[in-house]
Amino acid sequence: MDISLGIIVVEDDPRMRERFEATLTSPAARSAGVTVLAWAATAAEALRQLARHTPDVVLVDLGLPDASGITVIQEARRRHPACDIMVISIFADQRNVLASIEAGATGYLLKDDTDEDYVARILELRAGGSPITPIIARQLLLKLQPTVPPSSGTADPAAASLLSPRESEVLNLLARGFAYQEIAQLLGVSPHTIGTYVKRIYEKLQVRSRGEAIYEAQCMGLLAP
Amino acid sequence: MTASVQRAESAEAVLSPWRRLLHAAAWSLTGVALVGGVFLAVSLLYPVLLSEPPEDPRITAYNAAEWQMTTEPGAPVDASAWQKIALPDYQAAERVESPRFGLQPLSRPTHYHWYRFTVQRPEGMQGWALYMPRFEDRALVLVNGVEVQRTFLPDIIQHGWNVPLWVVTPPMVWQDGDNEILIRLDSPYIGVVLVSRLFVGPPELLQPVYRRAYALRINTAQISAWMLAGLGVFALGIWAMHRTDNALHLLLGLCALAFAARQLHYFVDQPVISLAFHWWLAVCSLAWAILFLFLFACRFYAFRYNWFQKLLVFGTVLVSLLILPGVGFDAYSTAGLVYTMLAPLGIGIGVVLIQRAWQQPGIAPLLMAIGFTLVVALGVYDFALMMRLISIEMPYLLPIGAALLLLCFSMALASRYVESLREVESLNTSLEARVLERQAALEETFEQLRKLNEEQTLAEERQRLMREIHDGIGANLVATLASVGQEAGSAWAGNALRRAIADLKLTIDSLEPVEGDLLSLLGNLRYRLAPQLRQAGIHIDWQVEPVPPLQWLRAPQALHVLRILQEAFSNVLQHAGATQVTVTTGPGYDERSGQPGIWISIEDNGTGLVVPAGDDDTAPRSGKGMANMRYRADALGGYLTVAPVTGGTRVRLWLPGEPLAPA
Repeated sequence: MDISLGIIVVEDDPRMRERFEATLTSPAARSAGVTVLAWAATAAEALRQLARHTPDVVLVDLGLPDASGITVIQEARRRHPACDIMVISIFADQRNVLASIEAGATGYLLKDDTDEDYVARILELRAGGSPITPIIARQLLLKLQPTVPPSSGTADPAAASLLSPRESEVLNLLARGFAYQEIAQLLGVSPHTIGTYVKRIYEKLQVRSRGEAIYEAQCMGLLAP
Repeated sequence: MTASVQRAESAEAVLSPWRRLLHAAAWSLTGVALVGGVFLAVSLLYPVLLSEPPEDPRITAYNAAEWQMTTEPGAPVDASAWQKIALPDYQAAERVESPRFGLQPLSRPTHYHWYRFTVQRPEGMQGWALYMPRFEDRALVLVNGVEVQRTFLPDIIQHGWNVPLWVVTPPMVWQDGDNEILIRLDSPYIGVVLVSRLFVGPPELLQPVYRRAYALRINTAQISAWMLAGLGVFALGIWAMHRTDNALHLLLGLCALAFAARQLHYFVDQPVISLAFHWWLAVCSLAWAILFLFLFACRFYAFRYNWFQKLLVFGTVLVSLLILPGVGFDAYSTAGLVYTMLAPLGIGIGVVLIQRAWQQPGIAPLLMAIGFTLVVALGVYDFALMMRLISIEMPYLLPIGAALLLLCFSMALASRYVESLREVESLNTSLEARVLERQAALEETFEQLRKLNEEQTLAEERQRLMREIHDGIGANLVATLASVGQEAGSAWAGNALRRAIADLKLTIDSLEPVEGDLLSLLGNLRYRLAPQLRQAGIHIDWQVEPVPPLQWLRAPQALHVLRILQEAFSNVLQHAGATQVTVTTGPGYDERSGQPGIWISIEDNGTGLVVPAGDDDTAPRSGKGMANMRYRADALGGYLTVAPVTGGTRVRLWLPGEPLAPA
């Protein structure tokens, strides 16, 4: 075990759990340093495990029997700011993924991916690269740079935006369906760098939504300004 | 209006006393200048006002006469007593030391003043007319000893001090050669005797002049009186029915009535109650008119009711009581004093009105200033006439002035009334506009709310379905796939499950909100297919160009597009044996109709679509797939072309920029 990668898996479906167990305890995973610290089938159990362990990666299914996985993501982000949180999704549909990202996730696992893919995704994310779909890229452009239409291609630098010009350029290309490798070639960087851009954009969305929450709380008188 | 008055007052309050004095002086000078201007205008009108007959050899004008006084009513017998005097003559009473006794019931001597004129009778003359612009107080006219006219009847008080003398003599009284005209004047009530020049000539020449003089002196006053009375009653009526206008109409009405009463003494020659009351009314009415005018101006400009106004009211009441018949002071004798006291008040009002007109430019203030200045000027003129500083043959002009003044003030009030009406109107209009605006905004809000509700309902429904697919069907499919994958010889079931999941993903993607952004949709499809293509060793050449958003691209249409493209990709995967697929997009026109739209092209380097791969079930499926693709393209209002290209096949889908017009 050269690199130790502590993981907590929050998944209620026993069949999926079996699959994860098989994958994450496989020799390939072991050799990559993957160690499952704890398993949880409910949100309550997950919160207990999060208090006990210091994970590097938390895998969370959103559809938990006792509460939404979003709660678990928020708690994980609060307790362990340095850890990576991945939401386990079937479709990577924008509603679930964006909600998870806003809560603190920086990546997702597609349930129908192959077992090898699971480990690869975890390692990729750990290395700093987040996955994204074109539709989510488009939504992020709308959310973080609301004045510029996503397909216009050219980002207006004057527009007040949370995105750097480079980031919005990357998002634009992603929204038009270009792959990491293609964008990396276009911009003269490594494909991995594009993944880090995406991760950084996710974090910006998270910060923004936290800011909005605080602002709303202030407006409602829940928080002293 | 009130705000601007307050502003003006506060501006005055800021000024130092010296500057205020300077201001007052400047405004007074302006007032004096205006009074002078009107005076000048009157003097220019002098010939018209004077009512002098035209130069004509047939008219004789007498600038002098012989005069003597007798104490008996009969014709004078002492031929040596005649004295030559110049005309007009207003000092006859003084010559016999008969003081002006006014209306006091004194035991006074009866004096008869005789004026003698000698007239040469021309040839062929019929009856002659005698015209004298002004005389006082009672006249008896004799021609050659025959009485031709008397202006009074015995035992009836007749006091025609303002009426011109007009006699058309019968021809029989005239004789050849010298003729003697005797005019006897006495003044049993007020002791004033006046004689102006006498004109003798043909009636047809003199009558127009007499008529004009009569009109200027009597008719004007009559018209004025009726007009002012009407105005007064009207204003009082308005006040009685609508008492919220700060008593402006009340004051205007009282002022008009006072001025109307004032006019009576110019033309009523038989006093209704008594001569003393007649003159009391004449003198008091002017004072009351000026007072009401002053109070009106104060109210009009929203001055506070202060001690000065109270003092004036008190003073006017006091003077009116003091000169009441039987109280002590004689109205006729004190008239000059009363008028003198009114002069500074009048000038003061004039200055204030001019100042206001200057500070608040507008029709109403201007009218009031002009009207009042006119009246002050005419008043000064009348006063000069009364004091014999101007020829007594001139008419009194205040009757005209009063009418004009009241007209000006009524118009000022009317203009303010109209102004306020307009304000109300514009207020109504703007209110209406605002109500309409609000209504429109409200309707729009409702419409938005309705839409939002609709969208919300739709979105909620979508979310519910998504959750269902996600947690139910999806989760089951994935779990089944997981368990199937571990069993041997279940490749077919695994593939079927994978296809089902892929279809589900496509459906989910079509439901995502992309706002007509075709490229995101296309990109997502690539994202979904990427693992399969990679597995098949097919490289994707992604050459998409930005395209305008398609407004008609909702979930059902998105699913059509995705299905068409999925089919195209699956053909590439299954049949073509390709190693590369190029995806291109761009704006383009329909080749047939020229309608603008966009196109998507999927080009592979395989062996071609038409060659079946040999698998039994794929050949019919492929044909069915193509028909399906065309059907879907049709449904979208676009079309599909499949054509072989150098070293491969190209599937090209054209989509309209605008939705398909309903047939």
